[in-house]
Amino acid sequence: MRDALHLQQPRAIIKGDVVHRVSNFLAGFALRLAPIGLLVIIWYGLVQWLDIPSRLMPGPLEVGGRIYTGLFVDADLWLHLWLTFKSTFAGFVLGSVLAIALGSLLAMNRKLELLVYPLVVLIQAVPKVAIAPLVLLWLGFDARSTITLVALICFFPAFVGAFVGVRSTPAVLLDLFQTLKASGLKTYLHCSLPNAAGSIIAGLQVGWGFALVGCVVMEFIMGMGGAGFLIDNSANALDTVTAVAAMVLLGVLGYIGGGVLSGIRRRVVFWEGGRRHDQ
Amino acid sequence: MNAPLPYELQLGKSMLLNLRDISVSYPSRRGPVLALDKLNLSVQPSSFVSVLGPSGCGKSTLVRLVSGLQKPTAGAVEFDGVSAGGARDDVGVAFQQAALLPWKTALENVLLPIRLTGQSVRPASERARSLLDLVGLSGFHDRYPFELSGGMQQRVSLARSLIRDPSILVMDEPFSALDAMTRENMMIELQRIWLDTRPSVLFITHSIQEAVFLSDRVVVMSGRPGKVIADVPVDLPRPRDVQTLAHPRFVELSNQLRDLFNAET
Repeated sequence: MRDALHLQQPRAIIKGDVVHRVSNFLAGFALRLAPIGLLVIIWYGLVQWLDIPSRLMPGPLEVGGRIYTGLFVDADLWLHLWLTFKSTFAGFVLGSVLAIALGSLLAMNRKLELLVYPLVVLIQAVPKVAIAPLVLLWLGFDARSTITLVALICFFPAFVGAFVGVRSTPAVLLDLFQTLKASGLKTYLHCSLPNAAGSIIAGLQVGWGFALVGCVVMEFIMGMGGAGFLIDNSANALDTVTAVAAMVLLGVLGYIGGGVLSGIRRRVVFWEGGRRHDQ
Repeated sequence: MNAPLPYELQLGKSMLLNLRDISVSYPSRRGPVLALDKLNLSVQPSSFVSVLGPSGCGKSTLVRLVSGLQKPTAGAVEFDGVSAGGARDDVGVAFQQAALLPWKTALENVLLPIRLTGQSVRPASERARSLLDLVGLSGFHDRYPFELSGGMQQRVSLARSLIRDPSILVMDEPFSALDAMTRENMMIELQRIWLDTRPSVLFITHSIQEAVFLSDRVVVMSGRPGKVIADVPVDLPRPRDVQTLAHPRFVELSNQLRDLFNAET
């Protein structure tokens, strides 16, 4: 779309271009769905062929049916999904904003980097899930604990993304900004931050997956609602269909988050894909 | 010290640039390395001076000194007789690479110096557009750098260095990343633009052809530590064009510089 050759084409081509882009989009969509479809077929085949009882592993039809009623007939799954999404999203935003701020600061300040970077790496070395019970102890049995654990767990990828991205600002651009007498903040906002955008969003994509893990773990422990609670609770009650349905929905949540982020990436960091045409 | 320019002057803003007894040394593991040694160089108002030297002679250090990115270890950089302290609004810099922001269009890149001052860019956008036209990019104002060829990107960079109407333009081998054909075109274009705008220019290059074609004076530097070993006035009439490249005087000057250059490397 932003290709120089396309821009030079006369306007009459644009209609054909739209058709071309829609068919391209559909082809891309089909290509992405194909492996998922294959997985479902294998799942169906295995359950049928090995004759696995439903309370151990329900087939895709059963799970699909449970999701349908849970979302559109009884609507009992929405509440849990909403709880999980809310806490995950809040923690994700909190953790990511702090991570981008700290990562940027350390990348621009050598002394601060020497002081703080080892600390961040040390904290990262502790598995976050291991401190979940402590977070509960400190912050109590409510959403604050979940949000805190999620923020902690998704901090590192965004931190590294911001740090590496800001650090990789080309020296010649920094020279240019210096000859233009730009302040540190202006250099960051107009140069280093946009330069880091691609690597920050890549960090966020990894972080979103981590965030869901953190949230589900907290829901396992707290047992107060959410998709994690639903999985734990249903599995204990041998309602495997509901547990698998919740698991699938969690997967969908993760997938949608990742998809939204790659959409944002394509739009924000358009210049990095400027010469590629694989979309 | 400089012969009067042999053509009609259309003076814009310009300044006298004077580098006085400049020494620059860098610390290294084996003690300080002297990059420039008591270098003296001046660029008269509205004149075009090229600095020609072997690689590693401290040419780029000159650019960093004049653009305020670096301070000399000894000596002074003077603008109209006043010693400089850091970057200046009236000095335009064109780097070896185009140094464009990939997320901004050509026009936005040209306007960047204005935007960074916090002023509204609207009054300047008229000027930015005519500068882009001047460098031969009419019709490409709203393209992103990745949609432009290397030569076009370098033109955007040149337009950006002219946006604040600099009195002095410093150029650090701006065409060295371009192919031979594009270089020759850019050389002719740069002369045209300079004749229109007339800032004082300090042009760093390792191309003898570029130096002779563009300059009023060519300064030849020695290898490290960098010193001025020759200062050659170029008395070819302007505007110069492709025919100038075959002019006997052009060839003579080129050979003279080549001998100096080879004696040094």
